[in-house]
Amino acid sequence: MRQTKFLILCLLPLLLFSCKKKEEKKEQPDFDRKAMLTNIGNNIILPAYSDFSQKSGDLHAKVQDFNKNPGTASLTAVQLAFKNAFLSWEPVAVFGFGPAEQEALRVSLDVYPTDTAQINKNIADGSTNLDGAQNIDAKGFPAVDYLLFGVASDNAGILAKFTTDAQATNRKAYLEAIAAQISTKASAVSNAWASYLNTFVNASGTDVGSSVGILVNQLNYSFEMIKNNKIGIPLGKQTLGNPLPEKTEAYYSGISAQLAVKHEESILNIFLGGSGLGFDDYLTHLKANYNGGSLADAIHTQLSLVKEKLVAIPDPLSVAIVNNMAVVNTAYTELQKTVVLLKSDLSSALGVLITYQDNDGD
Amino acid sequence: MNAIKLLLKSICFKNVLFLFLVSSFSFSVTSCKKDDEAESPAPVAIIPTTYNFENVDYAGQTARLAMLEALETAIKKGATGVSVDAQKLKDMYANTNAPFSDNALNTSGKQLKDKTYAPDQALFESYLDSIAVASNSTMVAGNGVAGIATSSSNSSKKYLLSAKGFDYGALFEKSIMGATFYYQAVGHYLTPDEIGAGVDNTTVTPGKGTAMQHHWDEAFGYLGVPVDFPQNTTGVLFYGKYATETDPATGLAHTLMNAFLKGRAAIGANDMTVKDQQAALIIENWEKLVAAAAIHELNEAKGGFADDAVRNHTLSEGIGFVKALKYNPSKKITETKINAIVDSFGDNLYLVDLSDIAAAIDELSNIYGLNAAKASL
Repeated sequence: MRQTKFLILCLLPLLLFSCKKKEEKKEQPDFDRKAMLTNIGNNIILPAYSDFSQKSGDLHAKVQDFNKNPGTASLTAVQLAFKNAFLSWEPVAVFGFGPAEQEALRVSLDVYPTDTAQINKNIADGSTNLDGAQNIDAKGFPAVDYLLFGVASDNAGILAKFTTDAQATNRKAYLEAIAAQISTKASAVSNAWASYLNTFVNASGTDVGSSVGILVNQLNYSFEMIKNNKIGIPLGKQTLGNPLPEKTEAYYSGISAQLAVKHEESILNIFLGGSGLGFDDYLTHLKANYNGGSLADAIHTQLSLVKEKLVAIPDPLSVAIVNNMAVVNTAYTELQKTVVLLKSDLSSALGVLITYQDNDGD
Repeated sequence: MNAIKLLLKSICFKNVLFLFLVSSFSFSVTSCKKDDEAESPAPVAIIPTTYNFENVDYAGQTARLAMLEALETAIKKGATGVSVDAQKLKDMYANTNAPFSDNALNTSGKQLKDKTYAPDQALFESYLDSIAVASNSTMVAGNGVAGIATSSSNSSKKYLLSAKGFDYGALFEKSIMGATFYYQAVGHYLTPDEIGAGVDNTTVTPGKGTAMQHHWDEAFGYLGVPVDFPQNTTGVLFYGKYATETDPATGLAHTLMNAFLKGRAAIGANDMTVKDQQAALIIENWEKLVAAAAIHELNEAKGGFADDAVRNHTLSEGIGFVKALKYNPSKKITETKINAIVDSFGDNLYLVDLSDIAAAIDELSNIYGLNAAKASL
């Protein structure tokens, strides 16, 4: 015993001397960022846009079918096409730069809650002009959500709004205008990516304006959208815990939780680079550590956990935030925990500056 | 953080000296244990007695406290026979059209309105309208008549009252302290969103500290006290004033300040358990402070019951504080109870019952464990 103590005493100084930190990682060959960007571009971004473009086109086609021939079957068909298109939007919603920025995709397609009064005013006026700041929340998926699911309490009532109602013709025209815009923008961005891919892959630095810099910023921004807009605000995180069901993303069709899952999955997928080179490999290459383990694993585990917690939320989310508050709260807590991993640990390990404004004005 | 690091370093150094002698003949050691010891959270070794931490910035909070002071001054002009312009007050509330005589406030980029609990911003603007309406009266205040009321016992005390006896200036000030300062502190900055596991406590921004430190400091900024509070009470504002006034009976000034100091030191030492404990303590005791302030004003209303001017003014302040209790997401009192107390005074303060005021005091002191203190508040 004595000897052990003595030995420990002898070892201590060396131990303390070497406590200096083992921060000095030495130069190693650069990670092949170009290969990672090529993989993410070719195998994630392009297919996601192509899927989105195709499903948006299908939504538009089904709207036209419905308008031509409004009936129970065509209504159900267009409702299904809407859900599929909205769900296919979430994976590309992460990429709010380049062609998507050109087309102002986020603010054109997914501003919620939608302004039903403005929509109804446009319909009453017979206006199908979607430009102007007053229409920013009267178009896109949330507006279609309202028109196809929220104008009456059941499908018979909804159908009547498009057939026997005094404004049926105007309503059909408005629905058509929104669906056409979604489809046009989706294919425009999807097509533009074919040539933008080259720019994307070649901006392979890590500075502001590089593709890695932009992606990391967008991942963070997008993740915070899930935490705040998709979950937190409806859950009442900014209203003293009083839930606000009508602030959910797809309030009328009731698929908000699924949309959140889709979006989060997409972030996880980008992080992993699908089955190819991704940010996880990049972090592993840099030997980035987190709490004694690898940062890549920590982020992977946490993003998977968030997914699990989001999947556990039953749709409609607008009901779950009232009746299943604990489940939604759990998901929210895990979302919160993830932010620091992405915003601080990931970005600093990669040397990326977070440039989007999220401060609340101190 | 730095203080703690220094401390660790000096301990390390002493041990090295001492142990180096002891072990100078030991030479076969090759490895050392990794980071685990070095990085395990250090206990909060030093809790300073003043809020003189490194990298503290709550200039935004200081600006907003100054804005409410200026707004209060403008509102009080209504009690001197000046007709108050509602738009001017709203401009001050939202910091638009350079409304302040201190230009630094005009250009600060800060405002009270966007930090007010969003669903109630319109309510506060309606209070400002009510002030302007009352200030247009040229009559002496009385039941059914808006105007200026003068205290029957002290003619220098004058208040602007609505036709039903409400002092909307007092109501505005006390409840906006809740909907803005208190809400931002306990309903925003001290919540997991701002100081929880998801918030960065590694990257130090010079002058502002880590994100977590900064959020903590911003909560502190809304307390309205000097860094060496409560030994020093010079320049205390809003909650700082009430903490000072109620401290002899409640000890709240000391409790709150200690919790802010200990929590901030804990964040510096990365001790999240202590930080969370202190945040909970602050949230609990700040709520108690709001209740104590309400009781304080209700006591005044009770004491000055026969004096219409004093009673209606202090009762408006008391009601303002009761309403302020709402803005804590983890409050002890229910919203139903808050509304019941407010409703118990009726919609005309000239017709209020003394027993209702006493009942409200009892109700609040029961909820907040202030039975022993209530008479001294």
